Amino acid sequence: MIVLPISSLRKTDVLLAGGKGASLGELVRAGAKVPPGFVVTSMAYKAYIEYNNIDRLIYKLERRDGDPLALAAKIREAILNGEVPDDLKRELMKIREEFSRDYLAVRSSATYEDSPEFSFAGIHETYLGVRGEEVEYYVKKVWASNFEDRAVTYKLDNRIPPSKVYMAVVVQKLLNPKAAGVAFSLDPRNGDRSVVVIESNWGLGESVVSGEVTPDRFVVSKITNEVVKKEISPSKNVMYVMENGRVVHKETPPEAAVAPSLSDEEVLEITRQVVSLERYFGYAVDVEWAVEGDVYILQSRPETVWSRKAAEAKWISTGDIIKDIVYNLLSFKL
Amino acid sequence: MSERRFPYPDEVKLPEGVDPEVYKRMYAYYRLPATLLFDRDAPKELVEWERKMFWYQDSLHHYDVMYPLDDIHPATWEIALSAYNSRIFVVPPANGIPHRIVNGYLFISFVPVLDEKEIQKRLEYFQKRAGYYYQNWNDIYEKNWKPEAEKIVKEMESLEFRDLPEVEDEKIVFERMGYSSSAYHLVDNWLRLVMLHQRLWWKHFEMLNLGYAAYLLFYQFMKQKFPDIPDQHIALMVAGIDVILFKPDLELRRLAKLAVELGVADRILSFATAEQMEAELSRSNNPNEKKWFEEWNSVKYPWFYYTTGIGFYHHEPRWIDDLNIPFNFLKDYIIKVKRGEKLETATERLRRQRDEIAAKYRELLKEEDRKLFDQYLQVARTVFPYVEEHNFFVEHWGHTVFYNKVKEVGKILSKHGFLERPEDIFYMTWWEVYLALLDLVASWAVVMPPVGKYYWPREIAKRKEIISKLKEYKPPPALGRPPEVVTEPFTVMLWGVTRERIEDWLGTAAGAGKIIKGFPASPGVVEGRAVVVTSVEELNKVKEGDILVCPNTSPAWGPVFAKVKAVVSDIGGLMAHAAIVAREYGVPAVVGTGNASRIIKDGQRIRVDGFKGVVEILE
Repeated sequence: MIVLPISSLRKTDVLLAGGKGASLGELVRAGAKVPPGFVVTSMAYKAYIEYNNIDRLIYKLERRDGDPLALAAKIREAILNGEVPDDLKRELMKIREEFSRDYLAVRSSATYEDSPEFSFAGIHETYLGVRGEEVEYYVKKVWASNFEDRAVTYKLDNRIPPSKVYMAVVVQKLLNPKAAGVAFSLDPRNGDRSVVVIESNWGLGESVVSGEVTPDRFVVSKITNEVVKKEISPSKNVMYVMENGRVVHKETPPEAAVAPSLSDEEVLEITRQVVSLERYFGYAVDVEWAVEGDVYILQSRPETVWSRKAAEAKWISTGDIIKDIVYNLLSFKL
Repeated sequence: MSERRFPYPDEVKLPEGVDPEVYKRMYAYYRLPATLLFDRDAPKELVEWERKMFWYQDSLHHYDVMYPLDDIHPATWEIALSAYNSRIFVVPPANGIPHRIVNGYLFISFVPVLDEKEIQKRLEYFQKRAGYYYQNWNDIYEKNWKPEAEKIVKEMESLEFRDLPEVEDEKIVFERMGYSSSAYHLVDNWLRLVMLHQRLWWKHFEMLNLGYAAYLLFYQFMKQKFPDIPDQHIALMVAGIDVILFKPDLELRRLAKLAVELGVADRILSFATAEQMEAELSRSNNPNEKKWFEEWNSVKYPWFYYTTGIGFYHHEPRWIDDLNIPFNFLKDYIIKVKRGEKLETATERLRRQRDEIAAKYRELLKEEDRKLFDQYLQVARTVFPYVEEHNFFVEHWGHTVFYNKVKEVGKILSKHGFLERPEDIFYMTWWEVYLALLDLVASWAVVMPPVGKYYWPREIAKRKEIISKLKEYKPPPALGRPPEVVTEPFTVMLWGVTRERIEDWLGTAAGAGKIIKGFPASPGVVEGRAVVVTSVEELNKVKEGDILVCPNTSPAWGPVFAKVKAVVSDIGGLMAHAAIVAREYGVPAVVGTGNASRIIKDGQRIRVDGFKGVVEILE
């Protein structure tokens, strides 16, 4: 229970794997393919804290027995310098072997015992380009980030006892995608639920998410599974790629800038996964995806704008079909 | 108001060397622009009215120069279409479609009703009258429309055109007939032919715009609920029920299968021409060959009364007049059947698809919208067979019969020296034919030389020159000042004239690039070799996997759709024949490009995007 593969988790495992880890597991259940990886669970965190007697310091902080920020700094230092128990060491060694040729992403996945669904918006920590042998160090860094000044202030301000916030850690293969971007299970421009809309650029998804380029846009009909619209943007002049585990901002070669960043097959595979997520969750979704050989879903959120707005567009019927025909003729505009 | 505009009708000059006096005689006076008709004395009111209207060339139906006799079709439909809108059903927002012949090409416009009060007044009429048709749609179509249309065509067919006898039959005397039946019926039958043609066109528009209006309701509803829905999906949900328009092609497929079943396939394939095949098989004693040949003959009527074009020109080859057209298609099918291909018709595939697609869209709708969806879809499906089928009765069957009768009259006039060749009759207007027949009858009655013998050959020689000059001339896509929005629903549905298209016309006037825009008619994106086909004779250039580029297609080209990867045509909107056929055969198509067949060269690699309606020349 101290380290678990992502694919074995589900959303009810949030206390064990944190919000992030549990939701990644749930994505797999919903039919998405996510980059392979593990969660160093909150049990591992707890065990480490106790093994190194850091829990005493945390209680002190909780009681405000001294300057909180000074205590937090002490806790951080203790975490970074603590000793990893043997069982966890063995598990981390397995990760190291499995991903010996890959770069990894190490992310925080916090959970609050009294309210596991609590969202620690904005206080997540992410380390990219981590090698297998560095995992132990970065896991400790994520754990320590639970006691960053900002995180501590946040907890105290919101009356969340620091001893009840556990830090699970997601260790996941870092993709070096050919192309990446976002996708919606409805058209975010008009709320059309019969389509999936995909926005894509070469390389990592950052350039799409940040709005730095006009991405390619694909509209796929859920009804017939055809790509019904393809807008290949000729201005995809920059992209982000992984080089030696680091994100590098690059100019896109001119031939690539004007070419479609996805094949039809890839577009359809993204669609398949998005539709399956929407169906599983029962609401419209907004996902981040990347293609590295296969199509991977990195993240999925409920789509909120249109899901609330959809009720607005109302078709007015007179109740009489002939009148409807006439009024429609009168209002015709293209 | 957009500053950019097309030339006004009065600004378009006749091409160099076209004698205006001869030209003016070629068309009905009221179809010419006022400044051409009156010259300097043109009434201001008329010139201003022409300037006020936005005209566009109807290349959808009338892609070629109007020959004087062929102009009978648009001159007739101008009346029929318009009167149904303005005077019979009183369509609230739309009056008629006015015409002008400009440098030999047909330009049309639309007269919308804009006054709110007027629209309200018209609503009452429309609801009552159109309502009656909608409520009784199938009954009217099956019990009145079809039998009457058929009756009109058959009546046309029954008209006899015989040369005048040396001496009248004695039955005129002994049966106390009291008139010369030869002379009388020669003239009378011509006028009856013209008027039966008009009757047929009244049938054409009797239900058409009502059909479009009902389809439009479903169309707009779906567009509001699913803004990204491709037009093709909407059409797919209502189309594909056994449609008469595709029957000729289905019959050929059936004949091909039958030939293989009866073991006569190789024998049929051995004939180079239809003529040879008919000559040999009519003499055959082999019972299977006899059986097949009987089937072939029984299919001809009416299914080979089928044009390879849109139906509006005498020069379009028609199956019944050139049996090699269906015969070659048939041979292709026989080869396919022998190879073990199933020849599954697209109709069967579409019918499966259409219910599936409809069910999926329905599922995405909210509960309260589903009821409307069901009602609107049902109405659209009710009217659609008529919308798809009426062309067979009028443009295919009816016009084929009409043209064959005209040719009979051409033979008589040519025999008397009025025409050098019977086909020259198409350089005369229908009322000139009437006058020539009177001339002939007078000369026969009096026993004197007919004037027409001297008049017509000279006149027609001049007209031929004009027509060939006008064929060289490229008409502007439109005339006048474009409207801000096009709200006339039929213009958009039928001709594909939208603000965007107008912008393209304004743009392409400056010079054509490598991107050609049109109407997305059938989905899919493909690349391949272009084969430019401008007439049915060139259809055998088309090889498996080519992209067909043509001025227009018609359902009679159907079998070629089974070979090609995509279709690009110069003309057509969403509901144009080419669009319907392309969807039927499941090939990507871009229609209404205006000039693709003139820009794209044979053998060029092109990309056809049937989603966006864009054709790109790749080399």
